Amino acid sequence: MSILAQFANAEAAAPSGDVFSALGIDWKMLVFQLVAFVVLVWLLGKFVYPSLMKAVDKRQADIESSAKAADNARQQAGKTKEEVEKLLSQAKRDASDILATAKEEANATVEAASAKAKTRAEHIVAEAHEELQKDVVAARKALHNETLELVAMATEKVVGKTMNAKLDKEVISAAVKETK
Amino acid sequence: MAARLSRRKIALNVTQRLLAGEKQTAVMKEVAAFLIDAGRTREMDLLIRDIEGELAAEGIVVADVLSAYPLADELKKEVGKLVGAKDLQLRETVDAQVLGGMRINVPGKRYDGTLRHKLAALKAKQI
Repeated sequence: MSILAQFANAEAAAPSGDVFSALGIDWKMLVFQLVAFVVLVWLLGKFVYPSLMKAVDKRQADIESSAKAADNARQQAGKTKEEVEKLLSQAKRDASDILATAKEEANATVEAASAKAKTRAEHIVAEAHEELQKDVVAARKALHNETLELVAMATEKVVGKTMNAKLDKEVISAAVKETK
Repeated sequence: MAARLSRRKIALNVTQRLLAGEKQTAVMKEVAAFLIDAGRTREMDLLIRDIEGELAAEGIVVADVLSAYPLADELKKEVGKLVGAKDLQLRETVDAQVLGGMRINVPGKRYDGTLRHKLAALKAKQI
């Protein structure tokens, strides 16, 4: 038999006549229960609560840590998104600048090529004009020379046939007067 | 050995003798003999030219005239006036190739009024 059962039986056999008995309260049992409760509370506070609280604290810390990490991750994600947007925006600006620059360079190249072609064309025209002038001058010279040749030849033929002593005398007289 | 006589001195001597009235044939024979003896026959043409030059300085002009037809006397007088000669001696050459006009060669001068020359000058104006 257990100690508690023996105690209960002993109590039941003893006479009772105080207030606790009148109320139906066994004060010994009450004290015992109080002591047992205190001991239980002490045991729980000594061995169970610390580990339990430690586990709860740990769990809470883990949850808080997780929440913090999640928050950090969210913030990081937000920052990353901002950075991505910033990078995208920068990339768009860069692309726009590159496009504008390429367009300007293309325009400049086209203008330069156009100017060069124009200069070249003018040069070719000038050369052609110069060549034409040379040809004209050469043709004029050739015509002049041929004319002189023909005039000399014709004069020689005509004079050869028409010249006589009388005419020769006149020619000589004129030449002498001219020389004087 | 005698010093070599210059051509100019010979020409001057011959001119003086001719002007003095010596016979031209005799003087020229003497000059020819001298040149042959001196081995200077190659100078004959030049010497004659020098003599003509000296004579021209004295007013006696020997002129070579080239023409297509023989010159009339009045033209010869005109030539004499033209070259400023007191006494003109002409060596005439007639050549129809000159076409017309005349060419006069006197010592130190030349007048070319032939039509052949004028035609040649005209052709020379070619550019």
